[in-house]
Amino acid sequence: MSYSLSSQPMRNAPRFVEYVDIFSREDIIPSAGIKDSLLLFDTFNNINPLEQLNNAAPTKIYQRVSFYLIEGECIFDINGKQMTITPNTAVAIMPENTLKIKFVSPSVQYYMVVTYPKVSNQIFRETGFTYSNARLSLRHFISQMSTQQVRDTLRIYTDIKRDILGPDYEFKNEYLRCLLNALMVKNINIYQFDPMPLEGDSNSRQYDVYCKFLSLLNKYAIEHRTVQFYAKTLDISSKYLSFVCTSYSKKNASSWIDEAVVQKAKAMMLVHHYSLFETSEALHFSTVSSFSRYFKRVTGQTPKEFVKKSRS
Amino acid sequence: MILKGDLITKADAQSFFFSSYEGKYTIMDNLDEKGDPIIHARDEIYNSEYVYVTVVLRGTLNMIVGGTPIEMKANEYLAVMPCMSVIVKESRCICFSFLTSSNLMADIYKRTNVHTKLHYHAFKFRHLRFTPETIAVLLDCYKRMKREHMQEEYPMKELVLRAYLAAYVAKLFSSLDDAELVRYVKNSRQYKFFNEFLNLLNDNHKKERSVQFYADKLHITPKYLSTIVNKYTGLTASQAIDQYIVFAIKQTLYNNEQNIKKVSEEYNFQSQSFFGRYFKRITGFSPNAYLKQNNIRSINFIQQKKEN
Repeated sequence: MSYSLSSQPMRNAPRFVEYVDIFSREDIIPSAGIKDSLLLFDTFNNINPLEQLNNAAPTKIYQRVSFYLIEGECIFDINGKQMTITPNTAVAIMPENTLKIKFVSPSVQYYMVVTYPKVSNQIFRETGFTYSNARLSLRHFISQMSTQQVRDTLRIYTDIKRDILGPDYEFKNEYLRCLLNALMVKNINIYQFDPMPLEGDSNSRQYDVYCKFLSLLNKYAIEHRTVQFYAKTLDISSKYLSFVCTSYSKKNASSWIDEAVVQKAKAMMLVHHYSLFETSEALHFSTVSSFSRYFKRVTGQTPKEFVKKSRS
Repeated sequence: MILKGDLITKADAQSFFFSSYEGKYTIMDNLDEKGDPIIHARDEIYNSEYVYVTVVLRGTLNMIVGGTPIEMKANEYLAVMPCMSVIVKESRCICFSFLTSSNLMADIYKRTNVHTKLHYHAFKFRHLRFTPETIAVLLDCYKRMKREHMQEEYPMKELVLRAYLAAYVAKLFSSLDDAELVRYVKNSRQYKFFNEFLNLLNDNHKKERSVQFYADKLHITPKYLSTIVNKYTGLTASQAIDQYIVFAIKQTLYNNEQNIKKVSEEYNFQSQSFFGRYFKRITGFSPNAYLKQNNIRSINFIQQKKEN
């Protein structure tokens, strides 16, 4: 089936993919789903579709997983750390985590949404928040839900499931994305951080400049490292841009840029296993040594040291 | 004539469930009505920038939209685009409806990958008959929005409501093909002129603002054009042109987030101050006030500084 939930093609696929897509293994049958976009698993038919994954070897995932436990108890092993999940708890596992699932009580009741990166990125974009999959990767969140949230979330989930199983129609992608969007926004408190900055008026034009700057950063940090470039794109002076950044985040524009560049570099080296040379080329540095110096100035350690430390 | 966006106020909707979200959109229905589902007659209301959608489940709803009398029966759907006047007559029916500000609607179009500009649809309405199955689906989506509205305020409520509204619109769009268009006798000569006038407006509104130009293009006198436009919109030709242009300007200001100077150049005004005065004459407030009032985040603060 070539049906995909996302309307946009994936931009640059990672070069060294070594992930195993455990959720589309042949012996695991989702309750509903669209291949390579969205998979739903639940125990509402008295079958545990993820039974096969019980005590399977830990695997690195590249999808976003939202798990909602209704009844029973289960244990997740995320990056080698065990955590016990109790009823009415939501767990959000972002891409790049190593996951192992153990169901403890036999009559466990849960539902789970697995979104693939191209879809979840689009959903993030549509909410208008300044964070993305990339910014959240390697993290996981666990949180207790209020009764209202439990009820609403389950309702949205059943709506999504019913629609996937139902007939195809023209705007099905858009409809499903809207509901997924609602599902995510509804439980935004799972992510345990405020998507909006705390200080200042969030309706002001300054705030808008700030948000636009952050989204530009996500887009252009690979190529551009000067404040001047971002200021020019936003039609403002670099001094003003820096002023706006400091007033909302206590960090000026250039340190935001540095952070974004370093974050991209780290992701390239750790996740995609780029070599030092490849990373510096990808980030448009003139030489490896200038990239090294830049990295050291921002993080306090050279890229080589960083890779060694995080691999050991 | 009220030249204002508020199509229905809380006071008007007595026997209605009524909920509004910060003027961005309003939903209302009388689904819980058990006895005599009566809807009281209301004065003429001019709708300058809202998209108004009504679905009748039972009974008959009588309205006059821009001079055309409309009788809505069960399972019928009516969408009234901006720049139209609406008169609701006393009728008995169960219905649900909502009003969406055109700015929000433009956002939703973007999200559902529908590439259209709202001002191309100004002065139009669409009366469709759906199958009961489609109506049930739409009602489901509507009830979901209503449930969310009734919940207590929480930080992300607006975004959830937006997502639900977009879901409703996606469902609606996908069922438009199966719908049956309710037709009015419109193949008259006058209606052809009116349609032609709207097409000309679409093409030329950025350059021409005089009635004379459009009348010349149609090879009729300005007076006759005015009569025709008045018949279908309730406005005179010059009023209609002004309303259309101002609506298009509002959309441009909102969508492209351009600054006022660029927009005034785009719409062929001699100077920015002339543009400001024109905008204020039609809407009652200056373009800058409009931007502020609608929370449109323009990055043109240099201009703002100068004004201060």
